[in-house]
Amino acid sequence: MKRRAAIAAGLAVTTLAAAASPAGAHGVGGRVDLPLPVWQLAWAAGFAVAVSFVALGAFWKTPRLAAASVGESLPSAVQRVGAALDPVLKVIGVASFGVILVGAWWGNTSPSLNIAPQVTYIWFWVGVQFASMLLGDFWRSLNPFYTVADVAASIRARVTGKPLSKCPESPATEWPAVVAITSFLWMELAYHASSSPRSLGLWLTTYTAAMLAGAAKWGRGWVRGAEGFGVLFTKLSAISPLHRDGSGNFRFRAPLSGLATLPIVGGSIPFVLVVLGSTSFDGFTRNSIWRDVVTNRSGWNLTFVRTLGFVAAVIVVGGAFRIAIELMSHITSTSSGELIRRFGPSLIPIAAAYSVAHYFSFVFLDGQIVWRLMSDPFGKGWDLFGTVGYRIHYTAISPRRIAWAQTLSIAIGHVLGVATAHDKAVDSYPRDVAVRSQYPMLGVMITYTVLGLVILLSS
Amino acid sequence: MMKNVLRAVAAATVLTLAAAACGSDNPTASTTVTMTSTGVGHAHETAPWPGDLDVPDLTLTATPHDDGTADLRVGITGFKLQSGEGDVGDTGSGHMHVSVDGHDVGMAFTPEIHLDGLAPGTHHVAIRLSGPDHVIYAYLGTPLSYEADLVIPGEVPVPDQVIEISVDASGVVGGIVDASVKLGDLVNINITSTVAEEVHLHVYDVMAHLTPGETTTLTFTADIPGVFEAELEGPGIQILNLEVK
Repeated sequence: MKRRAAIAAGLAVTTLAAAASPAGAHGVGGRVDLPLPVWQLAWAAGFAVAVSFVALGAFWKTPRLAAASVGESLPSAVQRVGAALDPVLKVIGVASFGVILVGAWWGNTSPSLNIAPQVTYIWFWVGVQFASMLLGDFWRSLNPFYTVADVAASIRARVTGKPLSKCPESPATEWPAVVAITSFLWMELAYHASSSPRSLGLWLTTYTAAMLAGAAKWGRGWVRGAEGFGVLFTKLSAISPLHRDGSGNFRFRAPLSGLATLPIVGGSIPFVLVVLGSTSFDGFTRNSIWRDVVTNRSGWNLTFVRTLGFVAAVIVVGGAFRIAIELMSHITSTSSGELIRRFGPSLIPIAAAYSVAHYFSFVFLDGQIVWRLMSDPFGKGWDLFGTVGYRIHYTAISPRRIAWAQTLSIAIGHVLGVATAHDKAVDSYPRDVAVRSQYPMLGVMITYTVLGLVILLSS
Repeated sequence: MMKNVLRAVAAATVLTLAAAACGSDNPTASTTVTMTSTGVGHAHETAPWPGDLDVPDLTLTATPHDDGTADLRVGITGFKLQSGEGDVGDTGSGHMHVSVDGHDVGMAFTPEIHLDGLAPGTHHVAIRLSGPDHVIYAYLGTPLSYEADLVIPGEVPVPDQVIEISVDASGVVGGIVDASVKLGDLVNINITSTVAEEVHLHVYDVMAHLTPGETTTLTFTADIPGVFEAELEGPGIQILNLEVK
């Protein structure tokens, strides 16, 4: 097993080196947002700080989120539609994944003429994040890795005659997912040929092989803690008012309340910090300081420098959180591990806000390219639906609206993060300790918010 | 843009275009022929030109008009134009992909090509030969691409912004150029190069070849707000960070 993995890794390096394609930030797309005006930055930062201090005194005094997270069952008509959609989504998930794999391996080598990198980096990676925040964990049904692992497991159960093992509700560890998502983010943000369809094909194939090998060895439950996209989308869906309980019922609950009951296991919070760090790094690459660093670098030289930048961003973001946790531990006499488990989920709204702020225009402007590529997904000169002439309307959303979407998402994310942490604090400690415990937490959140805004200001 | 009419100097100009491998050059008074040793535009897929066939020869008669249109007539030997699309047909046959200033403007299955919407000034026309499956033929790894400059008569508008960039073998001289222009500006980017390279301004999709010792100008109207990068396509080195607001 080990030897085979080493061979696969060697193969990966050779093939990636051979695939030359234009360097570009975040995989595909060539347009980034204009810097925010300074007054808007000041407004948002001031708002965030003000809310934080109000939160200490004026927010609710007894915990509310955990009780609200149960919610109410939706009408039976919704249950029926939802249940009927489940197998449909599974088929769509596997079929779409198949189209992406075919495009990546066989389609046109020019990224702008191939649906695989465009759909993967825009609609899938960012689009599903946004949709999960609103609609809940629909990726659980769509996830082709789950579907394939489940089908393989049921075939094996039939062949061996052993009963099908039950899939656990939540995974035992999410450290494998940290590795998985880091490899995707590295590919997207650091690797110089990130948009190359063949590189993407190799990555997707390796990823799929790793998921299926892990499922074969440790059971399909392992995939739930290893499939990085699933782990991220599940976390973001805890913000959504829609969710599905353990017995598959669709329920409506207060937005955000899912964070209070989100299972946190080993790796869960480092996972969130890696994602938050990656978005910060992507934002920082728009800064002129970073442009000086990468001037005239290309190929593996560029990849190397970007890798250092990515790692540094994760260390800064993770380090700030760790410092806050240590301070809280001192104030509350609670172990760091326990504090991470309790307060880590309040980072999720902030990670969500960073994502919306950085990639809002990416989804709604660059994402339009998919209308064109649907007609010619592999760049072979087809016109299946008559849309190959479609041109992206880059002016569909004005820069002013984009700037407000960015500012508001950062501000709202901050408020939601503070509220989540506050709720957990009043749940855990008597009033005076609860208030004091929140000073370091507010400090780190204000840091993240100002950092997020400064990155949006930079150009 | 289309101010009134200066006199049409629409005398037909005959261009002889040659594939990279051959090497002849035949500039005339109002049009020039650019020889190229690299493919144009994005890295389209290529298929090798059949080894037992001669490399096609192509001549182009271009008639520019002062209403922003031009008629091209392609004389082609060694290549069979066929109207069918789909799978690879006979080897050495297919159609032409036409691009103007780096934008694909369409395909041609017949030797007559009409172009319109051209602003006064010089435009770079490229014709690539592809099979019926749209895969571009290449000879010794070089796409069969025939290129020419076309001069549309009329008053060439004065740019609102001129950006100067200097490129050498190591990349961009003096670091990535930062520039900011206003939405709606007519922008010229003058790139002086000591190396042969391709330059691409993303999203606007303006592309050009850089020729050693020459200054190449990219002209476009900055009508999309945002921040954009221009890069050298070969090595993937960013040379310009352009803010349009």
